[in-house]
Amino acid sequence: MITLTKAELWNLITKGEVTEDPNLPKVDGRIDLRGLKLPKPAVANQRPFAQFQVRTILPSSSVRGAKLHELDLTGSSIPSLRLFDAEIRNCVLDRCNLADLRMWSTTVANCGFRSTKLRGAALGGIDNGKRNMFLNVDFSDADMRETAYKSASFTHCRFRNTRLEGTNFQGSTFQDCVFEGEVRNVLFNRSASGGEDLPPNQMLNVDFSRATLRFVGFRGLTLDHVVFPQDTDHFVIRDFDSALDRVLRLLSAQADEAARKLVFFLENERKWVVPNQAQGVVNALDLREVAGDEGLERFRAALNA
Amino acid sequence: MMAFGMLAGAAMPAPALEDAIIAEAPATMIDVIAAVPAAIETEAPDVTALLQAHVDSAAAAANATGLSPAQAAAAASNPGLAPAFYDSNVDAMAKASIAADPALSSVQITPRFQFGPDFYSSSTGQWWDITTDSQWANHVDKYTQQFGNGIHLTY
Repeated sequence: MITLTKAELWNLITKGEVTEDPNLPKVDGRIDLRGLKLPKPAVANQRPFAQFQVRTILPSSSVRGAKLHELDLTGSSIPSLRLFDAEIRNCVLDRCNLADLRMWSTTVANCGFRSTKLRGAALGGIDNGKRNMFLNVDFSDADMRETAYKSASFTHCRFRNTRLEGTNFQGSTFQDCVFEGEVRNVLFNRSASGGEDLPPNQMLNVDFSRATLRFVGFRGLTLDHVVFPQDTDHFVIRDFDSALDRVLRLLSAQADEAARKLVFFLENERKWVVPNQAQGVVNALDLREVAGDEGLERFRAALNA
Repeated sequence: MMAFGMLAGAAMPAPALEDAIIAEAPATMIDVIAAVPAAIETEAPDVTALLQAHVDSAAAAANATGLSPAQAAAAASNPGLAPAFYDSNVDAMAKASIAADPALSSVQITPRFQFGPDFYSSSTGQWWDITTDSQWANHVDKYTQQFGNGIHLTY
């Protein structure tokens, strides 16, 4: 019988040195690694080697080719984790601290990151042309502010009350995803800057119907398979390019301060509208913040003119 | 602590440190301890060039991308904010791009609005900071005493 700490068991699992074992402690069929706490990697010692100063970093944060299947890591802290060519399947990563996580060529399927700290994590790295794939992943209540992307694939993912402020998803693709709660200061794009060779984002069957969209940009997207909220806070506008052009013409003819602010704000949006864009969305609260109640009513009048 | 039986390869001896260094290229991560793996890192000489390339791309992308909707809302009332937003976007885009680069996985990134140089290497103690030429001297003053010598990433 061998006795291991959770940290030692984690190390063996990430190195593929643990096989299925009925004696492993389980929670709902998953290996129990709840509350795993790993220290932040730091320099343990250093020595010269050829022209280099070689430093030993403990513990290693890089995990390559790992198959992380059926683990319960609820409440764990794994700082500065680097995943390459990994598979994470049927794992619970709720309420974890994954500060400074970066991953490449990794598939994450049937997992939950509910209420997990992912702020600043690099979830959209590309290695040898391969993207990260997120399939049926629940990011509810997670902190994903300022997460970094070139492109990642999100399919059947749920973002309920997920904090996303400051996130530019670049060329990340979304299919059959649901966003609920406030989505603020986020950019969705058809492709990443310099990533035109990657699969384009088409936002297929993406549901924002229970979301509040505050200062959210949709750039280069036709949005014909997107469901927007149907409430008084959102103007969901069909034939967005021609409608927006008409609004801008009318507002530009009005020389007062409210109209000038609206034109500045909406022209910034107009740059990213594609020809024959099926629909677009403008948030009334955003307009009120830009140009006050007067501006909001001016926009409404121009839209209905 | 937890106890269990079958461990594939758990008893394998760890390679000696010197053997590991000879067997692998020095820039790779090498595990040297079985139970608690360690890693050996060295600084690739072209890290500065890689970082600068990301900053150059970020500066171009920030020009092309322009203002976010939230920034446009603020700039509608105060157009003078636009240059600060451009600087902020270069910083954010460069950090995101560098974080997503597998060749720079060992470079640490200071989150925005936290004190410290933009990037540093725990392997070498080297730090880098993104700033304009005119601001570099201020950044040297700010970080050198605590972090050592830094390298300027310009845009």
